[in-house]
Amino acid sequence: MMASGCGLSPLAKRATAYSKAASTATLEVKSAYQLVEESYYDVEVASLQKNFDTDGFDPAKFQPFLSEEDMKARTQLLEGLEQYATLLAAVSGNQEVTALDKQSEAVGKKVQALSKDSGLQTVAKNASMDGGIAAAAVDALGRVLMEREMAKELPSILDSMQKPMDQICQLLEDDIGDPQTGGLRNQLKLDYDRLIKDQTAFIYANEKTMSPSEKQDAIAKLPELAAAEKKGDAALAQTQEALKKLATTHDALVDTKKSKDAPAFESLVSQLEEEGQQLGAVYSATTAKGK
Amino acid sequence: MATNPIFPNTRTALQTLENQLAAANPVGAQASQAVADALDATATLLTALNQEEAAQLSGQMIAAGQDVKDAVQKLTNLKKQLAQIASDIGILGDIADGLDTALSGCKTVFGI
Repeated sequence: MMASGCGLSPLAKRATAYSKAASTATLEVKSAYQLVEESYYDVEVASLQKNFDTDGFDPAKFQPFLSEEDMKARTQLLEGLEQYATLLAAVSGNQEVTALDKQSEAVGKKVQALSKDSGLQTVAKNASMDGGIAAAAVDALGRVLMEREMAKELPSILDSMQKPMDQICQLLEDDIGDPQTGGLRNQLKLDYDRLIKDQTAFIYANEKTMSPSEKQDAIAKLPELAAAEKKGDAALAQTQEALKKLATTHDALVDTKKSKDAPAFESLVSQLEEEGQQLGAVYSATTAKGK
Repeated sequence: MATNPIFPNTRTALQTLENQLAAANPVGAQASQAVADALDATATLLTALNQEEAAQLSGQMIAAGQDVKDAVQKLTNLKKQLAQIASDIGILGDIADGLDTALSGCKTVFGI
């Protein structure tokens, strides 16, 4: 899918570079959700262990943090961003895009359906993003992926996606949230705080029947949990940074439409690529996908 | 939901309580169990708020489940015990007042 670079305009070369960096970064945003699903699952297991004698095991009580529908909305949004990056590379390379058109159309349809979702229109997590703006941004992404004629005109694609990219990245940043006010980072804090206090209570409740080495092992788990919380939150914060960079680098790409050289863009795109690779390493070390 | 001030106020009250409990350093079986139970209940309520906010992205809304009702009940039951041990486990300030604010907000937000 990537263009060779031979005979490409400076803008097309830059769009190709952006496409590669954006694909890597977008892929890693999915891991943020996986990280929190894993900590939430650990809490559910700890709760089962604590209450097993009185409540037994009810499989129906084991549910993910985000429902299937809620996760699907996020997956579709991220698929839309990935597809947009792929589309930019293909358009920049002047390649035959028929097969890609079909794929883009399918993703675009899903993304457009998401934009009409009544829930999306009510998203108003902060003052800078009301539900109507979020829906319009998601709709614009869906439209770009579906409109084949327009997809062959790189400058107009970039123009039409400048604001929507900023807004979708902001929406996802808000979804990751803050440890004190909500979102994934808050959920991660809640999960680890519970695991730490449950482990502490477990040690005190059972210390009389534990062997010295069992007690040592149980105590050693406390700083491990605290460290895992810190690492996890740092990964989520870095994901927010990557989303910010995804938007600012796209803005810079749009700004360079008529420029032959674009050193500021080159610097941003290499930072974005580096950020995506770093995130990949961080999530490999902190989530089950790397274990 | 987002425009009703009871929603952010309840979240703030619950988060303040969660921070106090997470920072507490209970020693002994009874105190550590009380803190763990109170933190479980508080985190269950905050998780429900997080899930409700997350559901706004896909249009699904969450009704107060049994776990939310149980968590409110558990916190109500633990109020006296937590107030008694608060200074021993390093909780500064009046935990009872914070608990009352969080609980009354939860009853409104979750329609209990």
